[in-house]
Amino acid sequence: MSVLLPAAMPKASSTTTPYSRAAREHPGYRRSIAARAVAATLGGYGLAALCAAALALLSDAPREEAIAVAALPAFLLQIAAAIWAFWAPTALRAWLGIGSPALVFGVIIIWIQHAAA
Amino acid sequence: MKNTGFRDAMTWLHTWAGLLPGWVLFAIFVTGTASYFRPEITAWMQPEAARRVSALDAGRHALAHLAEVAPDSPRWAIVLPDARSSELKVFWREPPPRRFKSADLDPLGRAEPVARKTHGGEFFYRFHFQLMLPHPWGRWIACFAAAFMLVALVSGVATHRRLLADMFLFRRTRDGRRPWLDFHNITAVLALPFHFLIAYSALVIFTHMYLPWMGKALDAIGEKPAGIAPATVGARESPADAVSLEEIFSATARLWGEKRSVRRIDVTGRGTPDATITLTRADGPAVSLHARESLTFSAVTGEPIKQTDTIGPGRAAGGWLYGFHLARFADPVLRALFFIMGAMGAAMTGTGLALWTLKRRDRLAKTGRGGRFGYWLVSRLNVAFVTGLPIACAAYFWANRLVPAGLAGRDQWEINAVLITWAAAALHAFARPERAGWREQFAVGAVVFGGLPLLDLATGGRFDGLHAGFTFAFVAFAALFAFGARKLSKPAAA
Repeated sequence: MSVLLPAAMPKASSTTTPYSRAAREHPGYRRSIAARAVAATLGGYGLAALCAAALALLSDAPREEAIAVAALPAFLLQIAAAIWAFWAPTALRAWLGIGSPALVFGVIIIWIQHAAA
Repeated sequence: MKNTGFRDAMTWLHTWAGLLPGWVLFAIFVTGTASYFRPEITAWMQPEAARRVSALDAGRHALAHLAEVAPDSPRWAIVLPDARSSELKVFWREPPPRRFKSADLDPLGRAEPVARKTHGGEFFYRFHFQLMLPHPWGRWIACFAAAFMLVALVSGVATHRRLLADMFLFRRTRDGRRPWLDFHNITAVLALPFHFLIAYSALVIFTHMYLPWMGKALDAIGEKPAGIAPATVGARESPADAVSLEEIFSATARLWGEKRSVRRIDVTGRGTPDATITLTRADGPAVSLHARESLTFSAVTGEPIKQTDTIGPGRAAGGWLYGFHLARFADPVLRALFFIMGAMGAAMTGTGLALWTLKRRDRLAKTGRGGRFGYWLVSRLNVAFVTGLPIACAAYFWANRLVPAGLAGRDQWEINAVLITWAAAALHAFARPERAGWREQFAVGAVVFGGLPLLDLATGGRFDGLHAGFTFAFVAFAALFAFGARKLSKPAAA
C-alpha cells in the first residue's frame, strides 16, 4: 500500500495549507499532487462507472430508463470525487474517500450479479 | 482556518482543471456557439441554393432516389427541408457489414444539386464534439473536457468569498489583471446556470459512450431485453414503398395542422410485412428531444400504428438536457441569447487562459521564479487559440466564396483553408513576442471579419434577414478584434 499511496502532504495548520507556497517546497508535494490527480481522474471515473452500473442494476425500470436514471447522479459523483481529491487533507484520505463508496458499489454489483446467476 | 484551506485548495484546483482542457474548451465553445446557427451558416454558404422548397416534393424526390440507389436496403431515412434549411439529405443502410450511407440531393429534384458543395454549418457542428480527430478520440476528449469544466466551475465558485457581490463587480482600473479577472468572473457567473447545464448535458448526450458499464452490467444479468429487435431482411414479400406520400402527408396535416412541417421520414423493415414509415415533426417549442412528435404508419397498408413510446422520468430528464444542449427549440430571439451565452463561455475560457499567464508574468518579473518554458508555451498557445482559431473560422467563410464553385473537392478545400490558416496563426504566435503576437492577430482578425460583409456583397450575397444578421455578427467580431488591437498598440498599462 505504501508504494501505491505516497506520503501525505503537510497537515493544514494556521500558517500553512496544503496548497501554500511553503507546502510546495515540501519533498512529498509532487507525489501527493500526482496521487490526488490520479484519484480525481481515474478514481473519479471509476467511482462514476461503478455507481452507474450499481444503480442501473438496482433499478426496476426497463433497460434504457434504468441507464438514463443511473447516469444522471453518476456524472455528479465524478465531479464531487474530483473536488474531494484535492480538498482532502491528505492524499491517503483522498483515496479512501473515493475508494470506499466505490467498494460499496462494487459489492452491490457483485451481489446482484450473483443473485441473478 | 479550515475555510481558508478549502479556498486555497479550490483555487489551486480551479487553476489546473481550467488550464489543462482550456484550449480544447475554447475551441469547443467557439464552434459550438457557431453551431446554434448550423442551418443558417449552410444557407449563407450556399447563396445560390433554393429557399422555401416544398417538403412533399422533396420527399417524393428523395424516395425516388432511394428506390434507385438502395432498392434492397431495409432502412431508409430522409431529412427534409424546413423553415431554417433547404437541405435534402438521404440515408440508407447497406447490407452487412451494416453501414449507413448518405447523399445530398437537390431539394427541387434536379439531377445534381445546384448549390455549391460545402460542409456549411455542419463543419462547426462536427468540430464541436469530434475535434477533427479520428473516431472516437474527439468525442472522448470532448467528454473529458466537459468533466474538467464542471470541476473548474464548482471549484471556481468555491473560490469566491462573496459570489453575488463579485458578480456585479467590474473594476475599471488600469492596473494589470484586475479587469481581466472581473471580466472572467462576470462571463462565468452571469451565465453560470448555462455553463453548468451545457457541460452536464454534454456528458448526458454521450452517456452510452462514456459509461458503457451500465449496459454491460445489465447484459451480464441477462434481464431487460434490448428494445426493438433489428428488422430482418426477408424476401421482398410486400412493396414497402407502395404507400403514397401524399396520403401520409395529408394524414399528418390533419393531426398536426398544416403549419407543422414534417422534418424527417424513416422507413424501417423494408421488404417485410412489418415495414413502417415514421414521420417526425420539425422541432417545436418543447425543449426535450423526446417531445418531438412523430407518427408511424404501416408502409404496406398505410394504417397508422399506435405509438406506445412512453418514457420514464430518467429518459425524460435526459431528453430535456439533450434538447437544451442543442437548443433547436429556440425561436430566433432565444437562439440569439443562447449564442450570446455560448460566446460568454468562450470569453470565460479565453480570459481564464489569459489570467494564468498574467499571474505568472507578475511573479516572473518580481521574483524570477516559476517556469519560463511553461509560461512561453501557455502564452503562445493562448494566442494560437484565442485569436488564431477565430481567424481560421473567418478563413472558412472566405474560402467558401473564393474557392471556385465547380472545383472538385471544393468542400474539402474550405476545411483545408481553416487548417492552413490556423497552422499559420499558430506559427506566428510561437515566432513572435507575446504582446506583438496578440496585437498582430487582433489586427488580422479585425480585417478578415470586417472584410466578410464586403466579400458577401461582391459574391452573391442577398439583401435579406439572413445576410443582414451575418453582416451584423461579422462587423461585431471585427469591432471586438479592432478594440483588442487598439488596446495593445498603446504602451503597456501599469
